Amino acid sequence: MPDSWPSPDHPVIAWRGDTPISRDTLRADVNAATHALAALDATNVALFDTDTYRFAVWLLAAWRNGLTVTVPGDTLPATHAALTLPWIGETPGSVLHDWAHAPAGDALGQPCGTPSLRVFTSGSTGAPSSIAKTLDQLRNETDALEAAFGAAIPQDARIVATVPHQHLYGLLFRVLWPLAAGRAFDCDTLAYPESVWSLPARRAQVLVASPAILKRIPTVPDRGAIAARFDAVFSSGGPLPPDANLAARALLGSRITEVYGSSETGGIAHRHDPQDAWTPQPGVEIALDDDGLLQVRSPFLATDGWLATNDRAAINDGRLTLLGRADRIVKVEEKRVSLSRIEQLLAGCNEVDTARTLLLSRQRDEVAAVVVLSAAGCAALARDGKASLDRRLRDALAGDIERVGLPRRWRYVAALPQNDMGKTPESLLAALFAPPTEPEIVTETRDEHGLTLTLSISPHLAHFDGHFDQTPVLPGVAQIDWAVRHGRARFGITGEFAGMRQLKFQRIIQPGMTVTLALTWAADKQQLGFAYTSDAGAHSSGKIVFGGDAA
Amino acid sequence: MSDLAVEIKALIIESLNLEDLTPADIDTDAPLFVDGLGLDSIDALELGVALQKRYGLSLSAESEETRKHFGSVASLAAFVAANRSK
Repeated sequence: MPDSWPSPDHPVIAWRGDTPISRDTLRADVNAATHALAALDATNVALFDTDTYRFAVWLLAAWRNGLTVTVPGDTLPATHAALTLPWIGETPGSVLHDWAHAPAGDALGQPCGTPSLRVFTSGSTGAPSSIAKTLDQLRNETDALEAAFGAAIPQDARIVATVPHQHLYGLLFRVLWPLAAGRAFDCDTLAYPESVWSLPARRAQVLVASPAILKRIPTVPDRGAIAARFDAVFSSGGPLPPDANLAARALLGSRITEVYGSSETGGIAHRHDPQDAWTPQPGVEIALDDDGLLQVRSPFLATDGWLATNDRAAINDGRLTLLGRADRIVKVEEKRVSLSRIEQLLAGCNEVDTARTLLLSRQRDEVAAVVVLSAAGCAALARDGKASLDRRLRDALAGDIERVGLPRRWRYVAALPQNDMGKTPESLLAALFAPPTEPEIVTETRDEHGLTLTLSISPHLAHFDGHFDQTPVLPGVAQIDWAVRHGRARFGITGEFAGMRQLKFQRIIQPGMTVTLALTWAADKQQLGFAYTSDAGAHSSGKIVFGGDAA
Repeated sequence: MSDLAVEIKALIIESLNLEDLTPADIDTDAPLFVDGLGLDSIDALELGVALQKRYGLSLSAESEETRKHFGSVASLAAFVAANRSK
């Protein structure tokens, strides 16, 4: 499909601020990027670029070369480590930042394979997993979007978005559908609810939004009326509470079209009013399986068969009512435990506003709970302490949940952690329970010679895990890492790590010890001295040299 | 409170990786399981292993017998004092 883009009656491809990017510019840029990618001699690339136009150029060029394009949701070190592909786009570690220096020439070889896309689920129900999409699947999806919604959107409407194009929702709604339908998209992403007020008062505009942003628009302190008017506002990626929907609708002056689906299924259904049942997208068939779970069959799927979702649903007159997620059953040491049930019970507690639970499998399987407390819960936490509140909530569950399934770890948070899609993936919850990698700082003194920190070495530090089972020892690299990090933070060291001198490890540091870390900084030599000592004597010392941008 | 009781409380906290608790928070005479500290059957397995490692105990496979010793820190301390081999 990208071969026919941009169509002749598609004069403006994108807007960067107030500057239009023309059809001819896109054609030239895609041509140059295609040559640049051909020189890369790869069949798979990872594409990340925060600018939607540049992203679109790379995507079209890569497909023209017959590449499989993996679109990661972020550029975290773990994502880089997991995707050992050439990364392209304006991102650290990229092998191709731009196409300006592409080799000249107009003859291109044959595409090296069948172009395709890989995207990632947001991992709401577990670890993120990748999903492959053929271009046919994607075209079927953009055709369905135009069939369902296109009539209400003028041809000259600008597509503005709060969601990144690095996930399927943004990719479809703000890149592929506009390219297929001949509409112009904005290159920038609206990052905050307040951004909506800064949009100009033009008409012919579509807002592609996340529930996370939409439900916060009504909470922005008084800013007056929103000048911009919208022909359509879309919300997808997660549920939008009906109250928030109506409040945002009043401010935006447009009904909000919710689209229900997932990266795996693509769009399943939509509704224009939160009171309505959901209407399946054109071409989507829906049915219930024996357990009352929704299953779908559509040209957006990789296969012709039915695909089961994890949502309970009812179907009336071909329209869909969603009844909530299927029970999340996990096994804790061979016993089945319903996380949904624990969350329901917790939500019924006076102390609790909302609760999420997850299974941790480390030393043992255990249920962990992340809780947003009510006012009463906050008061109880302040009055009685965490251990007491932990126990009170656990006791409240004890009558309904088998003992091994009771949460053993608790985190009280002001709000559930969310990613930029406004979802709370399990990985963000799990991160709240990660073993600490930093020692607790008991005291800190600073004088003209340097900095002295007293550190309590918790037995629960991640560094002791497997190092070693019988005799846990704090690894030397951890000691050096702490010295470097505190040195950078306190002395403003910016140079790159360039080496170490006079390194001595005299005594091991074991769990439960209290040690003193003395740091001295010689700016003229760009040299950080460190020494770990305790009542037992000297543990380790050395000098760390920094280079790079040294004065 | 005997030193052994404090030591056993520290062992419980460390071997079961209990959060936000210090030995002082554990009542020597309160039940360890179900009520009181609220440990579960998996904790019992883990604690049994830790006690055997630390004190060279050999726990009886007879569960009734074992359960009695695991009633509280006080009963565990008495059991350890009588049966330890290291």
